[in-house]
Amino acid sequence: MALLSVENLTVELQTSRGMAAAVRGVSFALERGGTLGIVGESGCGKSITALALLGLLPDGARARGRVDLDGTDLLTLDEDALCHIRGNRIAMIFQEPMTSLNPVHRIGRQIAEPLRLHRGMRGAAAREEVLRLLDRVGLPDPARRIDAYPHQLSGGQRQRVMIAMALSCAPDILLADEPTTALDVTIQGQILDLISELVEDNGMGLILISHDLGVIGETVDNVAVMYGGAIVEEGAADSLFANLAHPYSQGLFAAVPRPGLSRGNRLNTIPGTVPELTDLPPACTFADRCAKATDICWAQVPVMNRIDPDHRTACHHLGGSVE
Amino acid sequence: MSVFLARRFLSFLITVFGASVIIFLLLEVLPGDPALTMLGVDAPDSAIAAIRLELGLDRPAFVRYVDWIAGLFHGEMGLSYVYKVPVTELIGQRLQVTLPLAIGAMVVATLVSLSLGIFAATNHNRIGDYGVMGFSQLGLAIPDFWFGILLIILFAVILHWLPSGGFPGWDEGIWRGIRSLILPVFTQALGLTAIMTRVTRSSVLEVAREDYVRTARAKGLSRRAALWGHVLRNALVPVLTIGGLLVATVVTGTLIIENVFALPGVGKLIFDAISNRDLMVVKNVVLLFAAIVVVVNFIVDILYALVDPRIRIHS
Amino acid sequence: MAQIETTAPAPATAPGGPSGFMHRALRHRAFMIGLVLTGTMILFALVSLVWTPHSPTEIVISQRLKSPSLSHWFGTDQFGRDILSMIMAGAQTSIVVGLIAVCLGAVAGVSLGLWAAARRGWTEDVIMRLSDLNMAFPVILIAILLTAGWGPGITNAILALGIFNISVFARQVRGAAIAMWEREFVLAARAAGKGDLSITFGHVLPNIISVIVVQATISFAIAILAEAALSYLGVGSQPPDPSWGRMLSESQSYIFLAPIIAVWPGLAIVLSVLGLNLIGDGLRDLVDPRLARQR
Repeated sequence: MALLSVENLTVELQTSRGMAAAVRGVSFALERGGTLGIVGESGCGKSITALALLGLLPDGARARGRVDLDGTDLLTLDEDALCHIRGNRIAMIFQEPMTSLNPVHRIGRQIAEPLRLHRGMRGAAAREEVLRLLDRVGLPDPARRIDAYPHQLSGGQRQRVMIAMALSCAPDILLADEPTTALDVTIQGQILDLISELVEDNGMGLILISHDLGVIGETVDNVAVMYGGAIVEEGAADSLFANLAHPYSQGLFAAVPRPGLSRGNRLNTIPGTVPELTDLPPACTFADRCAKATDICWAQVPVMNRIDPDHRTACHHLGGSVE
Repeated sequence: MSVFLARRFLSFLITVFGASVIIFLLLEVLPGDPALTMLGVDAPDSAIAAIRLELGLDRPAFVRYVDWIAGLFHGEMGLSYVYKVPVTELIGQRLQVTLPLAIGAMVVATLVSLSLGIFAATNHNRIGDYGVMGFSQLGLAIPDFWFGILLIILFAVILHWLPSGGFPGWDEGIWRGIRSLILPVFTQALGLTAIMTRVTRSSVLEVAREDYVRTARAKGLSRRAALWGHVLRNALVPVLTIGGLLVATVVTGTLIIENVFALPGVGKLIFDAISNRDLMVVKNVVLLFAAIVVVVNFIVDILYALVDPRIRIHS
Repeated sequence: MAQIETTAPAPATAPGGPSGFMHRALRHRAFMIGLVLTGTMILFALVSLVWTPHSPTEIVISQRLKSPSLSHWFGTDQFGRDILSMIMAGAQTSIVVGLIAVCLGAVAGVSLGLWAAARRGWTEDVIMRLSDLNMAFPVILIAILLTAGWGPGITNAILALGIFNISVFARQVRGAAIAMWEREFVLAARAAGKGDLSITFGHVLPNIISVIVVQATISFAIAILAEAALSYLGVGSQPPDPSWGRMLSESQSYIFLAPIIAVWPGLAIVLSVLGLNLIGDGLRDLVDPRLARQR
């Protein structure tokens, strides 16, 4: 049985124009030590999916479906039980290391917080463990930095602190939401390498969320492409990238500038803009921007079809074996 | 940090110095002869000559100013012209009423407004929030002296629970003293509570949306633990700033409240001094109050830097 | 990735033009209540210029301390004066004092604030230090100094409030103006070779006018409270000028005999101040929906 299995997860958010579905029937599974990348544009529901796993949705949001961790449905747990899971069994790293650390506490204290909470570690023992973690994430001169305030560190260093914090209780799953987006390009690689290395060494599962196909491709074994709150294509990274099937995935990939593209070749972009949640087409959410869209795309929600042994997509225009 | 302290201290000294110059100019130079100000234009020449001699008013203004400031450094404020006792002594006596009143009001307002503000923020857009906000809107509009009169009508005239005014002195027993300060303290606390409640609420709401609060929750902290451990200290910064600015309002507000409840505090002293044209008292009391306002702002600046480590670097 | 905004509804795209503003204003309940309250106060003051039920100053000893009746709706005071008439006439004092004081403070404060923002450097330093100095003297201290030096009078109250307001406006305007100076359209104007003065009046001031209007409304409310307090203490308006604050201080001597006469002037103050505060808060909401949510 998978470590984490998400089935038909739907999340509705409160907006100024009523409830809107930000996540629509998303399903995926993560084996112990497995790595999954979720890729998509801003607003596609990937971050909301991550927050739903932790039970940290914004006020007024509703989540339906199942999120099983070792057979326990997290959506049915109460707040107390969820607190035991967050930071302990599932830890999360956020996009903005600048704003994700509390400016008024020293970093040592912030890293020690989950240790105190979930392991009952205090005082010298906690400090020792924090030093070990800081050393593990490659923060130079931990003995001095442990008493620094976040504003005294660089962006990359802060993200290392965030990782140390997430790592502290040896979680089963690490959720990384755009962990490198806010960093300098030179630092991005280092942080990704660090995450990959830690995941491998500790046998953690990893869910890496990014809008950046390059980041995803290099780091994970399995990939899910999200659009409009639904997964439109998923599969093993190798076969998925070798043969992008869904019109949206193709557009997303074509929109990435690649070296070698001769000058004068226009960058292909997807027409239109990402619509507001409440304005999404009713059936296939990509219908209004898709060149191949026909009547059926507006009438019927597409289901996942297997097009390769380990590659599936949800599009009316791509045949294959329906599951 | 020490550079920061030194800079703040210097600007504090300059401000107090400037304040003393302004007070002196407004009281003893611009209106003309202080002897006339004190005795009135109809006073007989002999009386005017006498007061000039007695207070040294025949000396040039600059000398008198330097004299005044030099005296302050020795802890002397001169003699009250009316009471013929040292002004320091008068102020010392009166502070026994004014200080407990001001501090009591601050304490009550802080306790009530922090609780109400946090309560409103945690019940955002629910009935409790609207109730608290309505209360604070009303509290902002009610003049404190009128609120005092209403409290007197209710608790003294109708219910006879508390005295309508006056102060027996601390010698008559602590409890009797406190009893006569209860209504004044709550009167004084009203406007303060209203403002600080609003600031606390909006500050808590704002900080609660910060990324690092989400981080704290992702670590496994409960809503309550994240509020106490991560929201409040950051939310405190604006509350502290406003609170500091309000200390000035409280200190000068005691002047009004003491009038409402006929309390023999510094406020009463200064208004009696105005009627008696006792310039010595007015001059020193106003400087004292201005200095308190400036000192409090100075302290707030420092507290600010202690709460928020970023300020130590940036300013 | 920008997390989908949910806790706060996405701000509606700002409807341009005065009609959009009017439309939103009409639906803003607190703002409309404020308008009605303030309108009533102004109406009272205007009507009292030509007509009051009785003379607000006429002493009729036989009518002293009467309870509310058909001929005296709010009753009479210790000299038999009609309280409703006094309250109507008192509205004049509040409005006049508030208007002059706010205009005084706004004109001086806005100029200083704009100047500080345009010049920065030592000009700004001096202006800010002066404003620190100004802040060391709350309204009541200024009024005390003026009264002790020149004797009591309504001018003291007006001056004290006006002087106090200078630094209030200067600080507000400086902050807002500095933010404007860093905006692209100002940089563009500078690059085009426009001078400080023409940028200040052509680009900066028009864009912070809403900040000034909101501050003026709030300051007006504070001025009404302060005028009442100063008159209550005897360092503001003097007899026989009608004033809500002095009515309260006179009523206090009769609190055991006729507590009701202490209620009316207080209510008048509360409703006027509440009205102006609601307008101020409402304007802030209407001008900048983003800011409104944080308050």
